[in-house]
Amino acid sequence: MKRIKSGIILAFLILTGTIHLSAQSKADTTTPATTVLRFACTSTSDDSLQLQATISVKHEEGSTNLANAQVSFYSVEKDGDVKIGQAKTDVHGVAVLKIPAHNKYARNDQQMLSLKAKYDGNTKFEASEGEFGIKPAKLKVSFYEEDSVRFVKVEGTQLNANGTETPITEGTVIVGVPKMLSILKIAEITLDSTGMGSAEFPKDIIGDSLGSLTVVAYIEENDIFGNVKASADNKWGLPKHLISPDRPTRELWTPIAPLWMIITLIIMLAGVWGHYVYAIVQLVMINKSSKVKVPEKES
Amino acid sequence: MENKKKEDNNSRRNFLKLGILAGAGTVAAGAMIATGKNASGESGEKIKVLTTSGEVMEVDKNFLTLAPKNREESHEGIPGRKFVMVIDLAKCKNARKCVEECQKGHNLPKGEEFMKVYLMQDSEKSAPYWFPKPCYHCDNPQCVSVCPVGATYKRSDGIVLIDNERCIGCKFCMTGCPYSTRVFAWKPDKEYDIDRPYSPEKSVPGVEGTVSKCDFCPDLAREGKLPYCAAACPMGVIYFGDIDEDVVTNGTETFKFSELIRDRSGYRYLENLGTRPNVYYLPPVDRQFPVERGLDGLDEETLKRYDNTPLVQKLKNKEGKQ
Amino acid sequence: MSDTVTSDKLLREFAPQIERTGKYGKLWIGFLIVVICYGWFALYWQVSRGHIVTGMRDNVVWGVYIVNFIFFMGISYAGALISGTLHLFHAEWRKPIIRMAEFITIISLLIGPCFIMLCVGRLDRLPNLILFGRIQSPITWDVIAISTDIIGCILFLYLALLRDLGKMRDFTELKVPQWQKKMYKILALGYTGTPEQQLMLKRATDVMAAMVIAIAIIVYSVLAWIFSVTLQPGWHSTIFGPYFVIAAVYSGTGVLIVAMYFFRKVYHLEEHITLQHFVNVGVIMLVLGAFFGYFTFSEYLTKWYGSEKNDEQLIQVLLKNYFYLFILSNYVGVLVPLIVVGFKKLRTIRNITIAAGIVVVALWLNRYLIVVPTLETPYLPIQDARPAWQLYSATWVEWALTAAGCAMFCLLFTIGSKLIPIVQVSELKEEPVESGDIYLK
Repeated sequence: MKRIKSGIILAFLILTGTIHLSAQSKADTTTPATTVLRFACTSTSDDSLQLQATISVKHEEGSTNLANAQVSFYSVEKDGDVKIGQAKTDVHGVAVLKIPAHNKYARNDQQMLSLKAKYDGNTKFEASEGEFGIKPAKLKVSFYEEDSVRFVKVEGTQLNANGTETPITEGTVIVGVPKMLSILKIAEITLDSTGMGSAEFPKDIIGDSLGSLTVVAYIEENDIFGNVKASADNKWGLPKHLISPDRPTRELWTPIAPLWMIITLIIMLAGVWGHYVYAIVQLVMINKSSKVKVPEKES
Repeated sequence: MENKKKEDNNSRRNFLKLGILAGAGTVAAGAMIATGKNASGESGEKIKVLTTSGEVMEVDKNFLTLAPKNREESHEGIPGRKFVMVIDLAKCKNARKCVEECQKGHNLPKGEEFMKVYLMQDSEKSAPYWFPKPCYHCDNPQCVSVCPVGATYKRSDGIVLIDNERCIGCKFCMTGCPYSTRVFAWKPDKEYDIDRPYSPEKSVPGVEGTVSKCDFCPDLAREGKLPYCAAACPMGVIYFGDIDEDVVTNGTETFKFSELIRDRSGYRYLENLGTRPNVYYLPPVDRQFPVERGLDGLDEETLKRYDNTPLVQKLKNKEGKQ
Repeated sequence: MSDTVTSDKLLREFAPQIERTGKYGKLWIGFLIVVICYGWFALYWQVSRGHIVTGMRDNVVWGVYIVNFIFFMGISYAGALISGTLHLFHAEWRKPIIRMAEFITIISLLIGPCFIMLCVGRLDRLPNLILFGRIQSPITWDVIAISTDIIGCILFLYLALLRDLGKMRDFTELKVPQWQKKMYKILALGYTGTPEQQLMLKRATDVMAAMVIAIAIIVYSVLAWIFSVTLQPGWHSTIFGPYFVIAAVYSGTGVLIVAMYFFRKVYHLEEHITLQHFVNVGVIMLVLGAFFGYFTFSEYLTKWYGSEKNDEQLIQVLLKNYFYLFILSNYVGVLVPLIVVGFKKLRTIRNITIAAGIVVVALWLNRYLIVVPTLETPYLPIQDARPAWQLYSATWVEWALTAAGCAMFCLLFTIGSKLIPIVQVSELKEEPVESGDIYLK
C-alpha cells in the first residue's frame, strides 16, 4: 500500500512538473512578440512621396527597434491592395520607400491616396501594419525684401488626381531653421486662398560663418496633406563667430602654463639647487683635500 | 526544423551583409561588410539591434554612426560648437528620470550620480525648489587648474572631460569644484566590469580609484541626439544647445537661447565665484504644482536624503501636530 | 690636544648606546615593529578592497591621511628652522640638541609623503606626476618643493654629521661590527679637521643653513596654498601661508622637547641636556605659540564677525560637532605652554615636556579641524541618505596606518640614535679654544 501511494504521488508530481515545464517552453517559443509599426508619408519638393515605416518590438525593458524586417507598402484600393514596393528596415528599424508623386494609384473622394505599410511577421514577431492617407502636395519657399524689411514667402500647391496642380487654400505652414539638434521655428504662416503666405524674416538668426542659412518649411500631420517638406537657402543669417572669446592659449586651466609661472619656477629652482651644488662642491673638495693629505702624513 | 535553422543562419548572414548597408545614410566612411571578427572599421563598441530572427544582436557601432572617440581624439572638441544647458526650475518636480537615465547610459552603480537633484531653499522665507545639477563645464574651471597630471581638460567645444586612464585619484579636483560635482569610484563595482574600449567622451567603463562626472554626453551630440538627462525628462526641464548658434532645445520645444534667458531671467548659480559656468537656470516662477509633489513616489532611501531640509522639517512638524 | 682628549671622553661616554641595545631597548623596538606590521596589514586591506574601507567619501575626500601628511611635514621644520636659525645666530647652547632636531627633520620628511600616497586612488599611476606634471597645479609645486626639501635637509644633516663621522671613524676603541666601521670611514669623506677643511665645511654649512630656512618656509607655504587656492569656504583664506608655517615650527618645537626628554632619560644625558636647554627651546615654543594663537584667533575672528553664510555654517559645525576638540586645540594648546614656560616657578623639565606633548596633540587636532569640517560644509548642501557620506569618521584602517606612521617615526629615530651619537660629540668642548679652530666664537 505504501509503495503504491508513494508511486501515485510521484507520478502526480512528475506529471504536473512536465505540464508546467512544457507550458513554460511553449510560452518561450510559440508566442510571438508584439510589434508596433509607425507609418508616415511626406511629400518632398522633388515631386516624390517618401513612405517611412518604423518597426519596434515591445519587451520588458521598453522597446527596441527591429532591423532587417521586410516591410511591404500597398495602396488600399477598391479591389484590394496594390503593392507599391517593399523595403527592409535598417539598423535603426526604419524602412523608407520613395515613389513619384505623379502616380497612378487610386484616390478617394478627397483625392487622397490611401497607403498601407505591412510587416508580415514571423514565428518570433507578430505581424503589424499601419495606414496613412495623403494627398501629394508641394511647398515652395522663397525670400524677398520690401522697404528694407525681409520676408519669407511660402506657396503651397496640391497635386490632384487628374494631374493638375491647384493651390492649397488651407493649412498652416511652419517655417524654421534647422539647428544642431532641432528646428528653430521662426514663423507660422497660414496660406490664403491663392495658396500663398508670407511672414517677416527675423534679423537675428545666426547662420554659418558666412551668414548662410537653410530655411525649411513644412506642414505637419495635416488631415489631407499629411506631411509636406521643402527647403531653401538664403544669406540673411548673422555670421557665426565664437561668441565666447577666442580660446586663450595660456591660462591656469590650459595645457600650457602662463609664461610668468614657468619663468618664476625656473628662477626659484635654479636659485635653490645652485646653493645645493655649491655645498656639494665643498664636500667634494674636502674629500679631495684629504686624499692629497695622506701621502704627506705618512712621510 | 533544420531548414528553419539554416534559414535563420542565412538570414543572419544576409543581415550582416546587407542589413547594415541598408542603413547607408548613417554608415561612417570606410565601413566594410563584417564577415568575421576583424573586419576593418570595427571600433569594438557594440549596440543592441533586434533582428527578425529574434536575436538581440550586437552590431559594431562603427557601422552605424560616428565611433566614440578614443583618448587622443577626445581631446579635440566637436568643431564649431560651444555647448550650453538651460534648466527650467519652474517645471522640475523631482521625477528623477534624468538621474536614472544618466546612470543607465553611463553604467553607473546605484550610489553614483552624475546628475544630482537637490531640494534648495535660498533663505528662511523664500520658497523651496527642486534643483537639478549636472556639471557646469565652467569657462574658468578650478578643477582643471588644480589637476596635477592633466587628467581633466577643457576642450574647444566647452566640455570638460576626464581621462580616467591618466587620473591618479588624488581628489584635488573634487576639493577644487565648489559645486560638489565630481564623484569618486571608491570600490571596484561590478558596473565597471564591461568589455568595451574606454572613451572619455562616454565616461564608460568607470575605473576604480579615479574621479568622474557629468560629461554633457558628447558622444550623443555627435549623433545629433540630446544628452540622456535632457531626453528623459518628462517635464522638458533640461534644454541643451550650442551657445554660438543661440539655440537650445529640450526635444519638444526649441528656443533662441538669448531670448529664453532674456524673457525668463536666466542666471548662473554662484556667479560670484568667478567660475563662469555654462549651465543657466530659469527661476522657479509660476509653478503649476506644489513643491511637495517632488517627495511623492520616492523610494525610502531617496526620501531620507531630504530629511534635514527646512521643507521636510516643516511637513513633519505639521504631521506631528495633527 | 685637549680637544682630542675631551672628544674621546665624550665618545667613550656615548659609545655604549651605539654598541649595544639593552633589554628595554629591544622590547621597545619589538613593540614598534608589531605596530608597523599592523599598519602593513591595514594597507593591504585598503589596496585590495579599495578606498571604501576608509572613512572618506565624496564630500570629505581628504581625511586622516592628509592630516598626518601635514602634521609630519610640519614637525620636520623643527630641525630645519631651529638648527638652521640657531646655527646662523651662533647660539652655543643648541649644540647638544641639534642632532635630534635634524633627525626629526629627515625622518618626518620621509614619512610625510607616504601618507599622501595612501590617500591617492591609483598608486600605479604615480609616475604621471612627473611625466605629465602641470605646473599650474599646487600639487606639482608640492612635489617639486618636497623633493627639494628632502635633498636639502639630508645635505644639511650630513654636513653637520661630518665631523662626528670623522670622530667615529677615528675612535678605535669603539666595539661595533665591521660594516658599521666601514660605513663611518666612507661617509666621513676623509675629514680630519684641518683648517682648510673646516673652512670649506663652514662655508657649506652656512649656505645650507640659510637655504634650509628658506626652503622650509617655501615648502610649507606651498602646502598651505594647496588648501587656500581652492574656493572652499573655510580654506580660501589669505593668511594660510604664514599660518601654516608658524603652526609647523610650533609643532616641531613640541616634538623636539618631547624627544629631548626621552633621550635624556633613556641615554642618561642629564649632563648635556639641562633645564636651561628645555627652557630655551620652551621659550622658542612660547613665542611661536603666541604667534600661532594670534593667527588662529585672527582667522576665526574674521570668519565669525563677518558672518558670511558659509563661514557661519562652518563655525556652527565646529562648535556643535567638534566643540571639545576645538577648545583643546586652539585654547589649551596655546595657553598651557604660554603659562608653563611663562612663569618661572612652573618651569620644570617635566612640566615643559607635558606642555610640549599637549602642543603636539593640539596641533594634530588643529590640522584635523582645518581639513575635515570645511569639507563637511560645502556650498551645496549634502543631501545623502547614507550616514557615512554626510559626516566623516575615520575607520580602523586609517587609525592603524596613523599608528604605524608614528611607530615608524619612533623606530627610525631609535635606529638612528644607535648608529650615530644622538648628541654631537665633536663640538662639545669643555674649554675654549685653539685659535686655529674657527668654530668657536
